[in-house]
Amino acid sequence: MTESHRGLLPGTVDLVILRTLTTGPLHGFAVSRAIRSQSEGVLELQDAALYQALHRMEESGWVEAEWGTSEKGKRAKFYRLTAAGRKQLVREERFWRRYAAAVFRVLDPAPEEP
Amino acid sequence: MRRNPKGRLPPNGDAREVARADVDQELAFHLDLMEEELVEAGWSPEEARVEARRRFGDIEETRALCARRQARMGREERRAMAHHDFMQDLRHALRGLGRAPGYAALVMGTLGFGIAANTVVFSAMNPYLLRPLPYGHPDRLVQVNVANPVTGWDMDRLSVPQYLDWKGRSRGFSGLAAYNYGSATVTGPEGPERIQLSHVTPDMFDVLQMPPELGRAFTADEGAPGGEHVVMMSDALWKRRYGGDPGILGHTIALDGVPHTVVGIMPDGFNFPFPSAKLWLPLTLRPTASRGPHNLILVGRLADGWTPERALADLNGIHRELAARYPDTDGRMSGATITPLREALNFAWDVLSISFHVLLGAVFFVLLIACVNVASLTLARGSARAREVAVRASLGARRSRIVRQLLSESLVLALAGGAVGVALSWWVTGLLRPVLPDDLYRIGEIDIDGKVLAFSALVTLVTPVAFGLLPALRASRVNLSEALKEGGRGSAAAGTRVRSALVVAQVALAVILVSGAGLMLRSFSAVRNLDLGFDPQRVVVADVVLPDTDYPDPVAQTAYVDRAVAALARTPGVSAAAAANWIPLNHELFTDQVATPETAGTPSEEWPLAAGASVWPGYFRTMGIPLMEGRAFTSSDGPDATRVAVVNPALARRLWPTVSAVGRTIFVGSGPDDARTFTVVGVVADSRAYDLGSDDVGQKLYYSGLQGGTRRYFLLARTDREPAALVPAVRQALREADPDLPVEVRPMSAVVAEDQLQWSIGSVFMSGFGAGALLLAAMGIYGLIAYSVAQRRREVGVRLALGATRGEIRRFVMSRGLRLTALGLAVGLAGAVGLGRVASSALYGVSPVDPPTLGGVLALFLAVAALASVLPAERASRTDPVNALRSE
Repeated sequence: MTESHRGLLPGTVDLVILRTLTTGPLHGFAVSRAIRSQSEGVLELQDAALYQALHRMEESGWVEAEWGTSEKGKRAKFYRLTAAGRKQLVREERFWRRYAAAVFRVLDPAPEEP
Repeated sequence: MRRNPKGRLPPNGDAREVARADVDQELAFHLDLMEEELVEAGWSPEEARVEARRRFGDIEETRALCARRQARMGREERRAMAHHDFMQDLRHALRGLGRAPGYAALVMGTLGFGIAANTVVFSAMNPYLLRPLPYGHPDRLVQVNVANPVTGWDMDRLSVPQYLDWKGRSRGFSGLAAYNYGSATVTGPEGPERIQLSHVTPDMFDVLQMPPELGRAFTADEGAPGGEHVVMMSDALWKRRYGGDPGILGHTIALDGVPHTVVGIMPDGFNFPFPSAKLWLPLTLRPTASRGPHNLILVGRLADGWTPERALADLNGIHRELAARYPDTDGRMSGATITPLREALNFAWDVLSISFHVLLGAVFFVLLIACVNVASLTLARGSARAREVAVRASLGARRSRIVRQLLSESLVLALAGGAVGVALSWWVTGLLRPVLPDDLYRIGEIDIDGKVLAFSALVTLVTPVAFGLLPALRASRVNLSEALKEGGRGSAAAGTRVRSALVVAQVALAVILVSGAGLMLRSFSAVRNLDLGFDPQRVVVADVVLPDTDYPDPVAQTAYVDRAVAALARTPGVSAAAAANWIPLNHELFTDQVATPETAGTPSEEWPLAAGASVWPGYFRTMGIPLMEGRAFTSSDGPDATRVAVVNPALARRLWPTVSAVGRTIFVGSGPDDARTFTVVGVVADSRAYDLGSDDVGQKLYYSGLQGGTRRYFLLARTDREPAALVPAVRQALREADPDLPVEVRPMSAVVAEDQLQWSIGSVFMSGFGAGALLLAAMGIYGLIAYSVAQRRREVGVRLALGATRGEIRRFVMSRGLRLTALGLAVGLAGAVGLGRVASSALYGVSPVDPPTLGGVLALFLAVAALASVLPAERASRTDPVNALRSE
């Protein structure tokens, strides 16, 4: 299985990235590893897409970047969720829960009333 | 690359380069970690390198996309930072000015004064001289008159046949209309009212390109003999008297008892031929009318491609032909004249434009002084801050940042000064509005002139910025160690030299303005103390026009005046009453040609001119004109008695240089055949007749008012108290004589005051400008001396230590202030004399080289300079040498 097949569905990239940032500021590599571990390896985001998304969200004001020092003493760019980002996360989460529930209802139709 | 988290961008770095470097670093960090992970998982370092890049995806695309986003964000951030810097500069400037409130107040006050002086003068002159006529394409409109060589009057009028000939033959006009003016008494349920009106040819509204706002203009046949009685009305009269009811159209109103149908309403602002004209009647042109009597003024619209000069040449060609054909009428005129209509309609054009040009010169100097003052203040401030700037520069502040900070202070001041100027302009313009006379020709109201306000604001506001920039640039380039060591004294010396020159200029300009104010005040006082030859104080004058319907003949007219004079004489507080068909200084003159039996044989063109007036018995006593010889008119000089006349010495000398005039015979008329004969019974003193302008009182001839009637009279009453208090009583008395006759009553002193207007307005404005200039110059001298004393504290200390007395120090400082002032005075007085000569037509009774004025200015400025230097001199003399030497 190639990485691209394990890629995220369109529209879920922002949701997943924002969710990983709720635990605190992370650099890009850490975001990528957090997605992999939290999805138990099911979801993986291609690095190119991850960075493009991070910079896009930085410009939108959902995340804030700050240069800091990594655990190994190297300079790294850390991303932090902003208030606007939190709101965006709530919106996306609500949408996906409703969407998923609807998809499940289609897959498992309730028995019809007699 | 960024050094600190979320740090500032390098000042001049390209945002895109910075962004690319940032993105590269971020991606390199990611790839490093990825490689480490792969190596840990057992990959060889080389394979790990390739694999990390393979797994990443399209690195180049990501790099480009992210860098573009980062660059965009960088630019936004930079803008935000610029805003932040601006706010910081502003706060800094406000704090700095707060620490130097005197400087701030001076600059703001000076700017405000300069802006307001300009704006007010232009705003006040706008309606009188500058604003264009409110008609279509007004620059193509001219007034056409003829020049009369006998009277020297070059705006004489034309007769109906002359007008028709000129109109028919001239090619230079797309339209040539004619008008004259008068007044009528309007009666009706709204009460009697005398209203100024103008008779116009029906094509006048086309020529002016002014259609009525309601109804229609006159038709051509309404101007023809036997045409309908129709009238057009001004918007103001329509609204005031008839409540703005459109139903008035087609209805009649009574003018002098004759019903006229209202056909049109002219729009608000239509002020032809003067603002108080509220009615227009069609001018009836009878081609059979006599060629001699002339009372038409022509208004022409120049045809396309015709200049006034060409049109004039064309008219003069026509005139020459007509003069050959009609030598007794056209031949007596010397030619046509053309005046721009804007200028011709304003009777006071000449006087006002002289005043305006003088004031224009004055405000120009005010503006210069304001600029010089601000420049000098800003330079001083700049040098004072040189040390502060050096300290900031040594702490690593960038040059552009320092310059911006210094400039922002100037900008804040400029804007605040501009606000002061605007506020001051509004205030003074508001004060002026009710002061300026109502009956002068004007177009629109006195409003703040936006263009002038913007112009003077721009000029004055650029000054502090420009002069703030100079020291800012110099200071930012200053050699740090030297500036810190010497406290900025090296550059301060150069600054002092420039400032000295500025102070000299300021004094010179102020001397010119104050001299101008002095000359204007002296003129005004000369005008006020002028012996008019009559006594205008305590005389009330009432102006009446008798309608033909009620007073058709001289008998009825003189009967009315008799009644009115008697009623006036009975009024308590009135000591003498009389009437006349003319009053002095009212800008009217009725000239007659006169001769004696001995000189009557000469051609009548050579007969001397005399200004005539019909006056009632008691006129000379009422006006306070002394009788010098013979007798005044009495009630026995009636219509059936011998026709009698009284002359003034000027006329007596001209006609009878060697013998007494009393008892002589005088011919009045335009030739021996149609001359009337009078017997001179008395001589009264010379008095001013037309205006105050010329020294020549003119030759004057008085007729007995009882021996002929006319329509227009001035009723006069001498009072034993303040004449203004008797105006209502006079009005009441005249109502007894005819309750339906509208009268206009005013003190005679008001008539005289109008003639003095040129100098009274001039004195007020010039005194204001002069006082402001003097104040600014005084502050300039004080500021410079105080500053240089502070700069030279050490030097003074040394001198004192070396044995100089305190008196010597005082004299040393004082002499510096006086030297600068003396230099400025020399330049300024020379300028004042030169400009005074140029503007001598604006002066009255004083020479531009008026010793009392110039001497007064000299003394005034020396006193002011001494006063301005005395405080710094005192401070310098009290310098403690030990302290002064130790302090640096």
